[in-house]
Amino acid sequence: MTFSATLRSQKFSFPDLRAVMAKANEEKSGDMLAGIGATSHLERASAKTVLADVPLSHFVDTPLLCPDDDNVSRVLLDDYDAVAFAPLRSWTVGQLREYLLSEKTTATEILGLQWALLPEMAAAVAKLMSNKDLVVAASRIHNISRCRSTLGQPGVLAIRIQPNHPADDIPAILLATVEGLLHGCGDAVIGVNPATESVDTVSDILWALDRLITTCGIPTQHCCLAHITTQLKCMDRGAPIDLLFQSIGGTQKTNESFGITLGLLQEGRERVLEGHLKRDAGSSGRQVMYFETGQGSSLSADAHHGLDQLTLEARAHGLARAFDPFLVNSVVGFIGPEYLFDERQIVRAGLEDHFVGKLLGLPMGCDVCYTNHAAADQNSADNLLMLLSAAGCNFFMGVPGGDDVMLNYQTTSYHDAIAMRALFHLRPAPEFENWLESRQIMREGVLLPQSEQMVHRLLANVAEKSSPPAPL
Amino acid sequence: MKHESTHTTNTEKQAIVPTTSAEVVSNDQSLIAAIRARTPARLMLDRRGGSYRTSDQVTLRQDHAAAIDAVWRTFEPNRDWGDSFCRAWQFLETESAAATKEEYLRRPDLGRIFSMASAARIRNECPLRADLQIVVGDGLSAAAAARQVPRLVPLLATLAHHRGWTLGRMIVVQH
Repeated sequence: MTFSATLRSQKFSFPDLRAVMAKANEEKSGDMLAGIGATSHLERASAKTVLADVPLSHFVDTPLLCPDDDNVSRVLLDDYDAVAFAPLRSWTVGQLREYLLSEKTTATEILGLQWALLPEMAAAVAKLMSNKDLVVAASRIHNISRCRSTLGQPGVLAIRIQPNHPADDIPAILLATVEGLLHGCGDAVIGVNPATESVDTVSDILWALDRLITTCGIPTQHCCLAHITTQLKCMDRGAPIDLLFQSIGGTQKTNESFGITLGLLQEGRERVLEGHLKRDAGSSGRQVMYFETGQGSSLSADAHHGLDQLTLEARAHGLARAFDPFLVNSVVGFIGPEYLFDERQIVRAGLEDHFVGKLLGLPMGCDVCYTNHAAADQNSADNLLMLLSAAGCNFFMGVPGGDDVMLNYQTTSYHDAIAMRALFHLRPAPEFENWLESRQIMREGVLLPQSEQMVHRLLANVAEKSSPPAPL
Repeated sequence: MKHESTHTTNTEKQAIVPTTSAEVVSNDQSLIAAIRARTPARLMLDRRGGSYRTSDQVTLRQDHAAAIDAVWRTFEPNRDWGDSFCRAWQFLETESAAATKEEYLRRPDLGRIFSMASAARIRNECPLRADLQIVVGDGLSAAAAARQVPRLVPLLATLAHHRGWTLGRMIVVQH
């Protein structure tokens, strides 16, 4: 197959589908840094024109990255549903776009498509969509996931409490958590990014969060976002793991740079599932993995193989779905301006990542964020937050004041959660909302006035008792 | 305070101190104040709907403004370190291969190498094979370089001297 188009009497030719995919991307500083992005607007438009006519079969017959060279490609090609794909073989990327946006296509039909698509197809169709298309198409897809709470239903917006502290101070972590609970947050997860990778510290955090959740009977789950090997060492010592976290990328080399193998993810998932059964964690679901992704990580690890960052992100999502996760989120503005330069690029990438993840069946959330050296500010975050709320994003982060004092970046706040739920008529996860009602924190979706005594009541029985039980 | 007296489970009741007496309320406040003193997190910001109080809104913008200005500020040794520090240290001013701050942000790889002209000057004007070579870059915070270098560099030089290390000519890099 040749890839060329003539636009306004100018002919654009592309050596292969990889080049078409890269140049069809909306502008990203990371694709320019990799030297693969379109160098003019007309070249970008011509790549989109060419991509629209590429048949979906091409992605299966000529993989962008050979499965013999990359084990992520192997997983993606082994996992997708070739039987369900058969009727789509002759469809073009452009036809897939129209099918996803047509009012004649039902939500059930779209759900039935999820395993028929390779991640690269999802990335390709995203490149043909406007921001509005990405919001509209994603808003029709509800990927529901279950652990102690149930997320992703129409009308539900969940929040991860992210109560980080620069020195992993347990009482400070718990106070930030309690504050989040009183704002109706925490139904997605109470997830701490530890400042150190020490097994002792991570275990202490896990025990403290577990004590809070158990004592107060909160229908949610905890997580300490250390490296997977650290979390599994904590588990060896008896620490409770509700959700097993790991950052993943779209190529084997990226994952090697993260210090993980597919076998390790598989083993970790099985061990946590076993642990749930043993400790009767009150889990009503079997989903125990929490993955984070984000455009640019493969280039950052020099592991991109000439693929653009949206395609690589889609491949990371494809890998995530092989492990049936409870939560996946794109940390979209965290990586810095050399990958996503400004608000325009961060907003675009956030909408792409959310749509692609949803299309592939993932319970997709987003860390709507920016660093201080990106050309973005709180208004940028507000904009993406509203767009993703309209798109039906499963969950966002909740950080006091939106200011993460450990990771040193700006994300969304407990206040933002209240605003989005009010603006879009969204509610917490149902089990969690029942709990909020039982504690007189919320009534009929509206937060009740708080007092310091309420903070104390939730804190009192955990602040001094969060160390692990003495060994037998 | 009806929130305090209802809807506690049995397990919780065993562990919770009653919260109605003035004494316990004061303990609540001291507990919370003690924890707040241990964290830089922006805890317990009041709200109006889903928004911050105006004073907090303005404070957040101030802090972010200072952080952005620190990234984009142009580093000027004479202004930022003072003439006497500059005379005393006789450092060499150089540039990375990134021509502007924006290029540096988009192309951090260029920020990791010297421009051709700067590389030539370093070869000609700096002693080679020093035990300790100090290089100051403005990086992502020119404000940090402005504030920290006058204190840090003399300390480093003193320590190097005590150890008998030779000290190269300090190099300052823009972008």
